Amino acid sequence: MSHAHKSAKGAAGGEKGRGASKGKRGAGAGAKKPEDDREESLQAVVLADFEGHFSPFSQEKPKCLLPLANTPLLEYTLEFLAMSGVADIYIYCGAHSAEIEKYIQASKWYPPLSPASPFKSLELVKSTARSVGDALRDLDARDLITRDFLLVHGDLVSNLPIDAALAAHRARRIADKNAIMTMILRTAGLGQHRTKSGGVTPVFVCDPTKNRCLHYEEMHALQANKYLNIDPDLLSDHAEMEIRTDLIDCGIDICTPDVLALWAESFDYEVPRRHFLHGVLKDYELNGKTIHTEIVEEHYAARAFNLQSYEAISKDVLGRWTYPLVPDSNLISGQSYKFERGGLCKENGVMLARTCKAGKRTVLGRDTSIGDGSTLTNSIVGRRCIIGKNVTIRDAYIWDDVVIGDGTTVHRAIIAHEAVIGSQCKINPATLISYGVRISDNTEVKEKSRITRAKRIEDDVEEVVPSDPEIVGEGGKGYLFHEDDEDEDESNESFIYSTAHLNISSESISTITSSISIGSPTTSRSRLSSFAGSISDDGEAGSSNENFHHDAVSGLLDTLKENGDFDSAKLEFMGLRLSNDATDHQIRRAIAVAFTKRIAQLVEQEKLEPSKAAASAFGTSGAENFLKTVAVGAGKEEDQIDFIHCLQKDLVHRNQGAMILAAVCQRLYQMDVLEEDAFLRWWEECEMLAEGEAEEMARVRTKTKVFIDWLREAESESGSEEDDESEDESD
Amino acid sequence: MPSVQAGYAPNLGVFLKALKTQQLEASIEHLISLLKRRQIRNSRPCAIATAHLLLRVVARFKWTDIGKLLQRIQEVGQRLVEAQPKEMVVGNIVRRVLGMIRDEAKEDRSEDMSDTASITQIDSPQRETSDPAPLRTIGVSTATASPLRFGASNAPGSTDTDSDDGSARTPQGGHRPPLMTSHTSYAVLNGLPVQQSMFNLLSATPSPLSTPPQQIDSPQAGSGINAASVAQRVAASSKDLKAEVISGIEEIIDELDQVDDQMAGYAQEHIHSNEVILTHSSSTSVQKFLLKAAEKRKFTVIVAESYPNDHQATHAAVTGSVAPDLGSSEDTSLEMFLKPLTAAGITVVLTTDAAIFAIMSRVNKVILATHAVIANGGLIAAAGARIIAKAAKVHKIPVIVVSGVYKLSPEYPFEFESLIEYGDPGRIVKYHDGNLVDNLEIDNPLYDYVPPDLVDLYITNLGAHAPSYLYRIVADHYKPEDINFHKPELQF
Amino acid sequence: MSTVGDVVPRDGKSKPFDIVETYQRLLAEDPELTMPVAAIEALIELLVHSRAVTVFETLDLVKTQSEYLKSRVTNSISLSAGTDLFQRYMISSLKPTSTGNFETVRQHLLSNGRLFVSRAKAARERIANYGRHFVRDASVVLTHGGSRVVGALLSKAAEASASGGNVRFRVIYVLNGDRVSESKRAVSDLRARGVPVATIPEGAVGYAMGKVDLVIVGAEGVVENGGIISRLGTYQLALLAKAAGKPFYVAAESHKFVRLYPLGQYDLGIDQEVIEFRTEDEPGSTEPVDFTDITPKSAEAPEYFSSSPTKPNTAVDAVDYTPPALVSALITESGVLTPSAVSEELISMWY
Repeated sequence: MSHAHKSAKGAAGGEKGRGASKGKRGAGAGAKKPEDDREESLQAVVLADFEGHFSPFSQEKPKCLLPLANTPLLEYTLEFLAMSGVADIYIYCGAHSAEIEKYIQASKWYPPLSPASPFKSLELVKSTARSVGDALRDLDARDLITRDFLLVHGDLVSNLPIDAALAAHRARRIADKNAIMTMILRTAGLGQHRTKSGGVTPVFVCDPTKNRCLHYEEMHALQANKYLNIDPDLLSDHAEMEIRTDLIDCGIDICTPDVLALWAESFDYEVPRRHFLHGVLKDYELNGKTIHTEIVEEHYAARAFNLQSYEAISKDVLGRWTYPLVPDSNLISGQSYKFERGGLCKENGVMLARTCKAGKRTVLGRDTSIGDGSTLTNSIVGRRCIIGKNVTIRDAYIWDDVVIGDGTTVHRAIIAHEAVIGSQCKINPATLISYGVRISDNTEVKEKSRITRAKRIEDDVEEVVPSDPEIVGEGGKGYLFHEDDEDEDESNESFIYSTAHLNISSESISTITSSISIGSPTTSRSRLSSFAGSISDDGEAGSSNENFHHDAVSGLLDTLKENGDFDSAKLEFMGLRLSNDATDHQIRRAIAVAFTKRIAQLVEQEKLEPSKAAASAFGTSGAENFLKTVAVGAGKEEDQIDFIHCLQKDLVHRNQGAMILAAVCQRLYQMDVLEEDAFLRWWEECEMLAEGEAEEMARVRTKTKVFIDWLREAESESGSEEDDESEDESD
Repeated sequence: MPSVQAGYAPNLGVFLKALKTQQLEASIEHLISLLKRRQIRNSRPCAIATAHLLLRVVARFKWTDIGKLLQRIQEVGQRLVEAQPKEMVVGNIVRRVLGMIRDEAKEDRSEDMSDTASITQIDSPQRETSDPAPLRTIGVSTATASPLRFGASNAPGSTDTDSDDGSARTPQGGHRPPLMTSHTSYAVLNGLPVQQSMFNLLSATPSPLSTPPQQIDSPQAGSGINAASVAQRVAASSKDLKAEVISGIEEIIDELDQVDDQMAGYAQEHIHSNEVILTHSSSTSVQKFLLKAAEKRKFTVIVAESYPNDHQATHAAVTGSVAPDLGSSEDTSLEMFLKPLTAAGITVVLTTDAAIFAIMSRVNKVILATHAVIANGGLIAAAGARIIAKAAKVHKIPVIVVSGVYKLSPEYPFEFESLIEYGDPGRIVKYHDGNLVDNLEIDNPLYDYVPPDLVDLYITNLGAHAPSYLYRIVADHYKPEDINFHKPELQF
Repeated sequence: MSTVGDVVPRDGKSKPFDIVETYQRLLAEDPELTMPVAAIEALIELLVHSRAVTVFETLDLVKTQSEYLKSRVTNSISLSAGTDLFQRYMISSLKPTSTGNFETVRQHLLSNGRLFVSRAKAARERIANYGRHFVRDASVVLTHGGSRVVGALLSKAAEASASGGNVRFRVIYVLNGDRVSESKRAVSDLRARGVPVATIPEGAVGYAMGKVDLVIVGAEGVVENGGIISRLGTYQLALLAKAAGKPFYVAAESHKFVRLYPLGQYDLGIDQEVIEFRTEDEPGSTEPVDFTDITPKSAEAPEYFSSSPTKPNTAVDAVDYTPPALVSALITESGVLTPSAVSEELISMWY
């Protein structure tokens, strides 16, 4: 299927290429020449819409076109690039590429159509890439990039003058060919900071003397064990080392073409940080590439990659932290914002009723009217909105053409285009109201509810969902939005980050896919990928065991399936183990699961009796040896018991688990992988637990009783003999 | 990044380079976006950029008639002003150019018809309807220029009158010219420039805008451009207006270069030995002014560092060590290479803005730089200027403002707040202090409004004036019809 | 030499022309008319009736008639602006040096009578257009008197403009006890346009000033030094505004500029009975009570109608002089002028 992608991209690339050449010609006259007398002009790659979720809004519209302070996110990014004097731009679109293209071509940025564009060329690359990894590999395939380039995301908001960083990068580059990349990071202090990501803290280990990044990991707020595993060599190699968690990763990377090459080499890197950065740093010994950091303390740089950061950045814009990227510099032609006393930013033609209060840090778009007695504070209201009387709006972000009825209260919510809120409603915090939703009068919308009218897409069939009066009131339009697979990382879906729900995963600044445990498409692919791929996943301390487990099990299963030879499997397995420094228990668990899985499969699919199945499974060449050496290392009894426990645990879930357990036990006994003492002690332990023991565990081992009894007899026999002996002695 | 080549970030230097090669439209947009992104800011860079751009506009302009040219420049100017209304010099330069073109146009008679006709067209779009009619009719009847001019200029008057259009126009048709010229002759008689607005009531032309007598009665006495261009006109007897206009704009550009030195010329009259001068923030004009005085005299300068927005530049100006992140925003002109005050043998005391009041009692004179000067004699200057001026007032210490004429804006600022730019709060509170960022609203105004009554003397490149006299310089430099060129709702 | 008073027509048959009567008729016909314009109109009518043939004769006629008119009207300051302007115009356009012949000018003036009036009104419109920008959102404007210009300005500001959105401002109107009806009209006009108006007695101005953002008043005349002559009470408004550091703006058409250089309150060239010392026994000729029965008539700007030349200004229609130092700016139809710019205008016209 990935092949199909490639071809599709190729086609797109072809016609785009022509577009670009046209662009170049159009720009030939119009574009800025000054770059020419520099050694080379600057290129940039914008990744639009790969990362982050703005659900439900992003379902219907490309994320990078959603308005932040009444200006589409992409505009900020392009302004930043223009500010930095970039000449050629490639925009990679994931979802909604058609809409983005339409927007760009209509905008002032598109060189072929607007002579005023500051860019020499702006190429829109439509690709079927679903991850940054794919996009960059695709980019590499097209080899459009010939020199150092800026890699940014379509949701970047920054007023940072990049020249210093560029110069530093170039200097390093000249000194050492292997300095392939410079990341720009903004300090955000150690304390609470709204613009730092709520979910995942990126941890950068750097050498301040060389501005070099040595190691990267991500920490989850909810992660139990907050530890880093740093390669000891680093400690010995570097006199100084900083471990920093106070950085905002604004996703501005100054890259050399080598970076693309590296992406291309490792086909399973999906995300720039957790995979690529971590991976590259890890195999420094192999490739010798170094990645550097430019830590800035002045100016502003951040990414609106999810709704929390959207809110944070909106606040920063209102607070003028992003100056000059503020409403009243009217970046888009046609805007006419004026900054008035008390931080009220008003566009022409706003109608304020005499007694309404448009308070501090508020932005009002053109032709918006506000009724008597209404108060707005720290909010952004788009154009042509109609806000009734005695409405209270706090910390809310209201887009264009919204109607809000009298006496309604909106607090800390986002209301998208053309939504209609009835009168006397109460919109509670963290509510997201999507396009065209209609909330009827006297409705109270619960916290964190996400209401949409979009057709729900169930395995590629659109279905219109009936409005839900429970939510939007009688006569309202809209239903509660719910992503089937995303429930786990709600923390970053929801507008306000909260640690209420305990799950490992929530999104990191530079991660498309939330951690492996979420079944989002990209990750599912990486799960199937072979061991080597998963090396890059262990960066995430929290879920690394899990990753190891998945990969190990899947690996073993494969070997079992094609009756492959275990010796080779063993090698990979050990490699995996080292790279994850998995504990022995993990290993046993993995093995146990692998085998039981296989056996269960055999039992179910090929209708074998458990015993036969077990026999065939364990009969695989090298399996015995593998088990002896790996599973139950030096024949320590505890290990064996542990292994049995693992088997038992796993079989709980499988049907005929009991049968299988019995069979397996016999088999392993015969293969003297496990010794009888182990079995007996295991049994006793279980007995001891008595009712303390979970009843299904008990159920599973019932069938094994026979086997155990048999063992007991055998033992007692031998035991009695000994008695005789002793008697003899006594005599 | 002080120099252009070091980085990619565009600034004045880049813009001027690009100007040579870019398409006109592109350059205009380019400047607009630079203004919006504050990559060209502060008066001089803005003025230079605007002047050069207008030069291009004229050069590239397909020559039809003056009216079209004026229209074009107004349209361009309007866009520039809207891009960054707080940089008032942009508007000033545009007005200067407009006025200069009007003069040129008036000079050569052959263009006269198109001139006046077009002026009325520009000044009052809503009149255009009534305009062509008399133009044509009289155009055929009498071939002379003057009735035509009357027709053009009177048409608006007749549209104003609800009742007797025809009667108002027809009888005058014949008689108007002599009356016209009587005006001119009168004005010429008593040579000084006249603003005839009081006669508008009676004269057959309704508004000071768009009236030929207006133009004749207010020649640009005293404005350097005019004198110069007159001289040239004598030299080059050719009627090539375009060349005239272009050279006129070049005059303005030269003026921008020389203005500081011209002002510095007056330095020694105002700074005496062993005086204690207090100044504020960093300004090339003031720096040159002081350096010039230092050539002859020994004196002390107390510099308020104007933290947080300009302190690095200020330190640089004092000590000569160029602060790192300047050039990116400033123009790359000579001010980097200016001799620092200390090197010139001036005793420099650096102090914080907060200490000003305490220190003021020791001061003999306060010298302020400006961002813009307003018609009412007030000025917009770097934040902190008002405290200084007020403190000086309290201590009865004279406040001298050094400002090029090009900073003098004819616009009457209806709301001073609207002229004050609010900058990046990050200069006051570091962004990484999450707690403050979240709980505080931080304002960082870049400018101050200093009311005229706090200023004692203005020193421009034309000399020293009292604040109350500024309106006169305005009258000399700008045509009344151009004052609100960017505000259609204020044009009649 | 034409006699003061009536112009004796050549044939002596037609009805004698009385300039004063004409002047007052014009004002009566059109309450919107300002005194200077009325004066000009009157003088034009004079020209119509006069049979003067030579330039000198005409000029002399106009001169004497203007003098006469002034003398007959109490508080002639405002109208003198008109007469002076007119004379000045005649002189300038009838200069022997100028090519303008007598007939042309005469024709021009006669034919354009209405045109001038309409221009005067247009001027008011334009002042309103400039002035509206002084009234910012959420500001409080203090004003007094029945000035039509100020009225036009405020109502212009009240209507929302496409460019600026709407402006929410409030007005504090200083009631003049002697001119209740006029004040009432001004206030109700504003209220009708949805502008919240508070009315305070003159005694409360100092108290209210703290809440005020700017003061806008009209003027009867603007004198050479940029000061203004206006309704009694203006001076103290200006003083209080200055004391409170509030801007004080004057809205006046440029044809109200008067060639006058008053050195103080009592130097206006008109006598006003504002300060009268009295003791019990002697009955005051002008008791305050008298004002009330003048008032109804004075609803139509009364001072126009005090016909007897000898009768001096009473406190009702008295004026005072506000020196330029107290005036932030003058809003005229040719833009916003600083006081010093006014003298420039006048000088340029006279010398």
